[in-house]
Amino acid sequence: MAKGSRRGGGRVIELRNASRWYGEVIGLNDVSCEIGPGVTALLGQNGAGKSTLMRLVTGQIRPTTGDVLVFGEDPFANPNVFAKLGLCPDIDSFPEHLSGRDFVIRMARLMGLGASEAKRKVEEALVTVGMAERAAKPLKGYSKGMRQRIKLAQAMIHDPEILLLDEPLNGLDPVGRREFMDVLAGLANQGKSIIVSSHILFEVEQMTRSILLLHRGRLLAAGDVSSIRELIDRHPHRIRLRCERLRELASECVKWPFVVSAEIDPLANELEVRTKQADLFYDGLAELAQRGIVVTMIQSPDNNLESVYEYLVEA
Amino acid sequence: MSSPISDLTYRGYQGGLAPDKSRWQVIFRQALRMALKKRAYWILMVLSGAHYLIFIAVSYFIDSFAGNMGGEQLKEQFFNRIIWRDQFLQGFQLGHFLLMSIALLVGAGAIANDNRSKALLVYLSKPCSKRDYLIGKWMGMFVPIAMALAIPATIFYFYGAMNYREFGFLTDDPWLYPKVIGAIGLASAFQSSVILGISSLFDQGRLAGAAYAGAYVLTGIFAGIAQTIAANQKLPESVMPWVDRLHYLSLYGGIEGIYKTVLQTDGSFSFRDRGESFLVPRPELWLLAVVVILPVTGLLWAAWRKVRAVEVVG
Amino acid sequence: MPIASIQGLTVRYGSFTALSDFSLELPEGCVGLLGPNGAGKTTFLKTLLGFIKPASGGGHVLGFDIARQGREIRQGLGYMPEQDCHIPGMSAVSFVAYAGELAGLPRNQALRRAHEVLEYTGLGEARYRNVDTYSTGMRQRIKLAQALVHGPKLLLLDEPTNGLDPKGRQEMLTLVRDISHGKGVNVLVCSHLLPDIERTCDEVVVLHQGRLRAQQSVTNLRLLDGAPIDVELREFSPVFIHAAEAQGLTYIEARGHVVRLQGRGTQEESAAQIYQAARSAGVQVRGLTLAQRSLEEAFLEVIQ
Repeated sequence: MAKGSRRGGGRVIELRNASRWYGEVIGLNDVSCEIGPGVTALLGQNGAGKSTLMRLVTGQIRPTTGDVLVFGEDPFANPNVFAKLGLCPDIDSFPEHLSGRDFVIRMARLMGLGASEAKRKVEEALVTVGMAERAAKPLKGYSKGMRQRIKLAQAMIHDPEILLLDEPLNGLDPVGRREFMDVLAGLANQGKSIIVSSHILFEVEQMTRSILLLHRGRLLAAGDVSSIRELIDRHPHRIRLRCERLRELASECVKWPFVVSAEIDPLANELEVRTKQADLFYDGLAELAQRGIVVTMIQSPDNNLESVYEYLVEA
Repeated sequence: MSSPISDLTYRGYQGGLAPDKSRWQVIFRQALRMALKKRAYWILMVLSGAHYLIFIAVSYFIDSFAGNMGGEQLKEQFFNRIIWRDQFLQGFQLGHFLLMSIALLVGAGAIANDNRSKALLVYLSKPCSKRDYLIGKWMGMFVPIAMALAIPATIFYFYGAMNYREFGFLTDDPWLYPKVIGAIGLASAFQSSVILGISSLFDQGRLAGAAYAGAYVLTGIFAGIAQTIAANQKLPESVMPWVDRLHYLSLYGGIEGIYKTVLQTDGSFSFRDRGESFLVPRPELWLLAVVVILPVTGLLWAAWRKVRAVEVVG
Repeated sequence: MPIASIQGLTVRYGSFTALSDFSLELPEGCVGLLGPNGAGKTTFLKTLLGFIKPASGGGHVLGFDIARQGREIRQGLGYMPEQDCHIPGMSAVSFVAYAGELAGLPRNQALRRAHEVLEYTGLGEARYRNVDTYSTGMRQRIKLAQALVHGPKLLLLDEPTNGLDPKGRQEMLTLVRDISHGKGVNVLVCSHLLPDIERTCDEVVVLHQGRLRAQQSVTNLRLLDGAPIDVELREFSPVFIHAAEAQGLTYIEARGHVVRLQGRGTQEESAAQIYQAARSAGVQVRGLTLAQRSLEEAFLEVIQ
C-alpha cells in the first residue's frame, strides 16, 4: 500500500488563474494550483480539461489568460523547461518495424544526446521499466503492456524532473500494472514530479493520495483525498455496521446528535449510519462495546477515491 | 394481477426470426440503400447515358431538318447506316469512364470501409456467414451498377421503339432488348466481382478506389495502344489479330468484349465514319473467357480469403 | 446446467499456441474471465464465436456443438468486442436495427427492438445522431446494444469499460450487473480490471499461458483460511498489538493502519476482545472487517 507523497514543498509546476479556450469551447477556466514532487493524479471526465492542462504544462500551447510556470519559467517553446519534461502520451502509433531499443535510441538522439550517451541512458531506462531483455524484437509484435513500458522509457531517457503520463496503465494486466506502479513509485521517491491522468480510480488510489480534479474546465478540488473527503459536508460519512443486536445498536446510534440518519438494510442485515463527525462516532461505538453492544463489522464504503469523485462531480 | 406501473426493464426477444437464407438480403438492402442515396450516383447515371442523349438529339434535328430542303436524303443516308444494336454498344463506350466511376462510388468502400472500422466483428459474430456477407455485398454492387447501365439503355430502347420503328428498330433484331439486358447483366457482374475483390484487399475505400481506377486506366492503355496500332496498319497481317487481342487485355476491353459478344457485333460508327480499321472485331470466346474469368475468379477468391474477423497474431 | 462445456481446446496461431488443452464448464450467471495479456482470453472468446478453428478439442455452447453448429451458437450469443466496430455513416438506431436484422430479426421487429435496447443502455435522444459523432462512452453503449438486440442467452463482453470515465464505468458496470441477475442472460466478462469483475461477477475463471488455472466463486477466491479480522486504527500502535495478544487474539501482520488478527471464538467474542484491547491501548477503532484477499492478490497468487 505504498503511496506517493508530497515531499518538501517546492512549486515545480504552478498555474495562476490560467484559462484556455478554443474558439467558443472552454478548455480550462481560471485554474490555479501547484504541483510538487511525488505522484499527483489528474482526474476528470472526458473533456474536463485534463489534456489542456497537460498541453499547457508541456508548453505546447499558451494560456489565453493567466500564467503557467514550470520551475518558475514559462514553458511555451522553452527548451530549458522542455529538457526537464517527459511526456508519455495516450497514443499508440509507433514505427512498427523498429525494435523497442532502436526506437528509444532514436528518440534519445532527437533529444540531442550523443550516440554513446544515448545508448547508455537507453539501457538504463529499459532496465528501469523492465524491458531490457525484450527490447530487441520489432515493435510490431509487442503487447500493449510492452508498448506502455517503451513509451515510459522514451519519456525518461533524458532524466526529466517532471513526468506526465496519460492513461499509462491502459491495457496492462494486473501483473504489468503492479510493476509499472512500482516503477513510478520508485521515480517519485527520487523526488520527481509525476502527473498521472487516468480514469481508473482504484488504480490511482494505489499510487497516490494527492489529486487534481477537473470538471468542465474548472478545478473542482486539489489536495489529499482524505482531507477532501472530510470537507464534503453535503455528504456525511456513510458507515456500515453489523451487530448481533442490530436494532438496539440502531436506537443507540440515533440518540447521538452527530448522527444524521440510520438505515437498516434487511437483505445484508446491516446498519448504515450517516454522520458528519466520524471521529465522535467511532468513539461512541467503543463506548457501546463497553456496555455490551459489540459491533462485529465496521466499513466505510465511501471513504475511497471513487466516492469522493462522484460526490464532487455530481453537483 | 398486473401492476399499473409497467416493467420497462430489459427483456429478451420473444418474437420470430427470419429464415437463414435471407440473411444476405439484409446486407444487400443496406448496401443498395447506401448506394442509391448518393446524389453523385444519379448524376453519373444520367451523364453516362450521353451517347443516347446525343443520338436522340442528332436524330431529332435530322428529322426536323428533313422537313426542309434536301433533308430527306440526309435522313435516309443517316438512318441507313445506323446499326441499332451498336447504339447500345456505343452507349457503353462513350460513357465507360463514368460507369467506372459509378462502380467506384458504389463498390470501392464496400468491404474496405468494413475492414477499417472492423465492422466484420459485428457481421461475423451474428448468425451470418462469410457467404451471406459476400453475396450481400456483391449484390449490393451488382444491382446499382446494372441499374446505372440499364436505365438509360431501357429509356433509349423505348424511345427507339416508338420513334425509329420505320427504320427497323424492332424488326432488325427482335431479341435486341433481352440481349442488351444480358450484356448489361454480364458486364455488371464482371465489374462487381472485380471491385468486390479489390475492395476486400484494402483498409481504406479511397485506396481501393484508386487501385481499381489505376487498374482500369493502366490496362486501358493497352486497349488504346492496340487501337492506334490497328488504325495505322503498318504491321504484317499475321500480327494484326494479336494486336486486336491486346485490346481486350484490359478491364475496359473485358466489358466491351462482353457487349460485343452478346450483341453479336464488331461495332460501327454512328456519326462519322472513321474506317473499318478503327473497329476492333469482337474477341474470340476463349480470349473473352480468359480476360473475364481469370480476374473474376482470382479476385473473388481473394475476397473470400481476406474476409475474416480475426487478425492473425504472429 | 452449464451454459458452455469445453473440452481439450487447443488453438494455435502458426507456431504460437494460444490455448493449450483448455477445458471449462461455464456455469450460469455472471462469470469473469481473467488472465494476463496473451493468456488466451480473447482467443477463447473468438473460438466460441467461431472466428477461429481450434487445432483440437471442442465442446458445446448453449447445447450446440462448436464445430458444427456455429450458426445456432451465434444466434444465442451476443458479442461486445473490445475494439470500436461501428459501421460508419449510420445513426445508432439504424446500426443497432441492422445488427438485429443480421441476427435474423424481421425488419420491423429489429427497429422496435433497437429502440428498446438503446433505451435500456441509456442512449436517449442521441440515438438519432450519426455514430461517428459519438464519444467513447456512447460507443461502448452502442456496442452493448448491438450485442443485446437479438436477445441472446449468453453475452460475451470484452473489456466493457474500456476508455470510459469513472461515471461511465459505474453506469456500464451497473448495466452488466443488472442484466446478469434476474433477466435470464448469462454473461462472460473478459477484463483486466479486477474491481470491475468483483462488482459484476459471481464466479471467476483464471487463464494463464493458455491454460485454466482456477475457477471459483468470487467469495471463495477471496476467503482466507481461518477467517482472520482486519482492524483499522486511527494510528498504528504496537501497544494495541500487545493488548490484543493479551486478550487472546493472534497477531498475523500489519499494513499501514490496519492490523490483521486471528480470533478464536465467535465473531462477537473476537470483536469484544478487540474493543477491550483498543481501550486499554487508548486507540480508536475505525474499521472492523473480515479479512479478505483482494481479487488482485488472489489473482497474482494463482498465476505464480
